[in-house]
Amino acid sequence: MAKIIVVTSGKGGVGKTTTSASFAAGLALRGHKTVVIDFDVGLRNLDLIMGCERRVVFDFVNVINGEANLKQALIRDKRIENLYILAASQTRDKDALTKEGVGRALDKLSEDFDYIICDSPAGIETGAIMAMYFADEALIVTNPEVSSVRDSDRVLGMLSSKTKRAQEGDEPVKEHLVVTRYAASRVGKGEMLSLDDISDILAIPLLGVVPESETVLNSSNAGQPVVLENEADAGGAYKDMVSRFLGEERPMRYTQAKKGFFDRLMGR
Amino acid sequence: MAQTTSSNAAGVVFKGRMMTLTVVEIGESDCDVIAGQVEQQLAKAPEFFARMPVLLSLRGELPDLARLVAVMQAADLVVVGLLDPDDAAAEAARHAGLGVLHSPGRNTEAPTPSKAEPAAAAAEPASEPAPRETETPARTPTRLVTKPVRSGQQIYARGGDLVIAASVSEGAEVLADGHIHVYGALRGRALAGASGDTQARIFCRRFEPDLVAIAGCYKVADAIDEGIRSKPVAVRLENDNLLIELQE
Repeated sequence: MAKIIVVTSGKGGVGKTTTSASFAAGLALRGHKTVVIDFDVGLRNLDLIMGCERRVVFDFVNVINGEANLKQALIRDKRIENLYILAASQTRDKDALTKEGVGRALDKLSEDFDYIICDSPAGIETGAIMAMYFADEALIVTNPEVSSVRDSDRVLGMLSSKTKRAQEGDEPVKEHLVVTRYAASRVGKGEMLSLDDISDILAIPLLGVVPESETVLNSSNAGQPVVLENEADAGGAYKDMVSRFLGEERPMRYTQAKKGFFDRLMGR
Repeated sequence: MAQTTSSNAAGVVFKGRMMTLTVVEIGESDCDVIAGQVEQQLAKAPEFFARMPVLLSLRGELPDLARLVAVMQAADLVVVGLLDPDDAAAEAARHAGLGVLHSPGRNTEAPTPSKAEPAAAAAEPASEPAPRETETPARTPTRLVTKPVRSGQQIYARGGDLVIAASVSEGAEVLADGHIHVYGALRGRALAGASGDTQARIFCRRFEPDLVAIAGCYKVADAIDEGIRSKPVAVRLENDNLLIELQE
């Protein structure tokens, strides 16, 4: 049985797809058979970030509608063994996702894979609910700003009421906080919320902090998950995140080091 | 409970108690229509209303009371009596074995104070439901919430107090007919005394609300003194003024 993990946030543009791609790639690099599914029907992006946009023939909606089988729709990543992508349909809208259809597809994938990563669309409507409905665990992606934190709070509320686990009274969805685009220097200046502020408001355990970094943009444009950039701080942050998720201890090294550096700069 | 010792000694003890009852207002005399609407209302929160004692307030034509009680029973509600009935309704209540209760304010200006009979009828059945009430817990238990109340969520402790052992997020709303205690940060809206109890209070460890209100008197974040922000406070109502006091 695969573990189903939703990557969600409420707000758009915070780094859900980047996180989905790198988290899935990270798990695959560690030897776990992983599939990452784009739930953003109508605004698909995951294939671009994964660099497989020119190989999409069938998509998730085709599978749900029975127009293609999973074998035909799954796209194998060229760089990483054990990593597969299920693209979203660009021509349909979110209503194409039904609970039964998504459930069937996930059940089938469950037989073969260790991890299923669901890349949620922004918002709190059908698409987002479908992405989270069957989840066992959730990565809540948040930027250090008030609007993003508030939207994440809203999504946490939905995870505890709108998911299958919540509705069937099972053990609740396990929540992990992922803070992206974190710039310690701007936190010091009071322009961004600090990690403490965010943890205080959301009150869920922190899985990882991804620093604001140009490499993320460059990797996205190059169609390469940033986790593959060994040197990049963001890549390292995602590697750490995967290790922590798999139960290993990793200090929050990038933010700590950066924070110390900026603190010194400011004479503290 | 403290009551058991005294009742053991005396066998039977009558005690006056104040408690909140839910009133069902009925402006319809067709029992089938009533049944449909009750079912619709209860479907919104089926567990909440289960075995709830209710008072009926009949505003229109008098329906067949025996059938009405059956309708309520079918919906898992326990009819205790009628609220402020007219003469005919009070008589019908007597036949149906129901109590009659008068709203505190209205007793003095009741339309039939001169007639002794309805008053007696009112007094007699009123004592009937009393022992029944002592069987069930005499008060609504305090509602305890241990998880953070998230933006967009609403929690209402009907007829009792609300204790939140976590934080209330911005954009969340907590309400209680009694007091509200928040042992984390209060960042959303808190409304105590939601059905008009002016004695209700709000306590919190960290005061950063969008809005606080007691019995309808409210203050928004903008109107709250910055000096008490993020501090532990108690909020109470005095002469229609909302007082926010620092608790150190």
